[in-house]
Amino acid sequence: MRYLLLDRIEEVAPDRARGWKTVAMSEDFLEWHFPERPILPGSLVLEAFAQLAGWHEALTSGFSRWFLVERVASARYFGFSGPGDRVDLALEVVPTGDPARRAYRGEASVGGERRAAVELEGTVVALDDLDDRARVERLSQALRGVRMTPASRGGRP
Amino acid sequence: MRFLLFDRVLHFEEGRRIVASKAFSMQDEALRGHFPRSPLVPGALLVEAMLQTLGWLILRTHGFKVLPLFSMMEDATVASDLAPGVLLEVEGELDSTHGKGSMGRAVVRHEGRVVASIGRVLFGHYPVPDPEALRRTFSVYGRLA
Repeated sequence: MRYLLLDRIEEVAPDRARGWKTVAMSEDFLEWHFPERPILPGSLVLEAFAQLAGWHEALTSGFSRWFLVERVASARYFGFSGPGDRVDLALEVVPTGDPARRAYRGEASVGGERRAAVELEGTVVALDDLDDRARVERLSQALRGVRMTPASRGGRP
Repeated sequence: MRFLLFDRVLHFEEGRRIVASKAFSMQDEALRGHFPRSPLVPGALLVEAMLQTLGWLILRTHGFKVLPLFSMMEDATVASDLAPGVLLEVEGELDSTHGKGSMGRAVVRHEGRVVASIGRVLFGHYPVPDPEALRRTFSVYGRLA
């Protein structure tokens, strides 16, 4: 299993980020959550926001930092998401006044209909301590939909 | 992959309180990506462990006749530095539970240290067409029941 709860990063700006998570019937956790009634677990919606916040931190720090969640002030769910849904995630940076702390407000929607609202807080850590910076940078390109260029048209390994 | 986030029920008081254990080992697949150089238990899975433990308390309290689905939580904390190789104790308490919903709170401890908590959580209850089938599905937890 891969623990990647985000399929696309659409936009990263200093004060916000947008991305999405699609839900596929083939996802393993749906077998037990719940039998005959597949629902994207609310905790994984939270994880998707935490990962989008991580990418926001990485992409705005030249891949030197990552965000780790430490507090969920609130998480509210207005409807379920399941197989076939594309869950759009919009994240807004909330200023904290502390350079080592981050706070975000997030809203999830499917087809324009609101499904969840969350408030996250946490800390930033050095990305080098967690992962290989170059690997993370390449993964970010896949998440941003950057296509490979064929070698015949000047693509390089 | 099984998405079952507690391992054993240690204590059960119908409609009131539950204590369960949850181990996170280096073998946990989620840790492969979270993170390659420094495996850390994802906070979302600590939250899920608390929700499932409370969910089991609700399921059993209502004889598998309702499916509790998490709809809101407030004031939750998760440790950002928890490495695998830990046996955690998950304690959940219900402040109220009736046919339509439940309200409770939960805490996760590692050797006495609180590594996660939820101040308040609400579950909506959904009808279960075949409670016996649901009970059988969770027979993986049968020795707890």
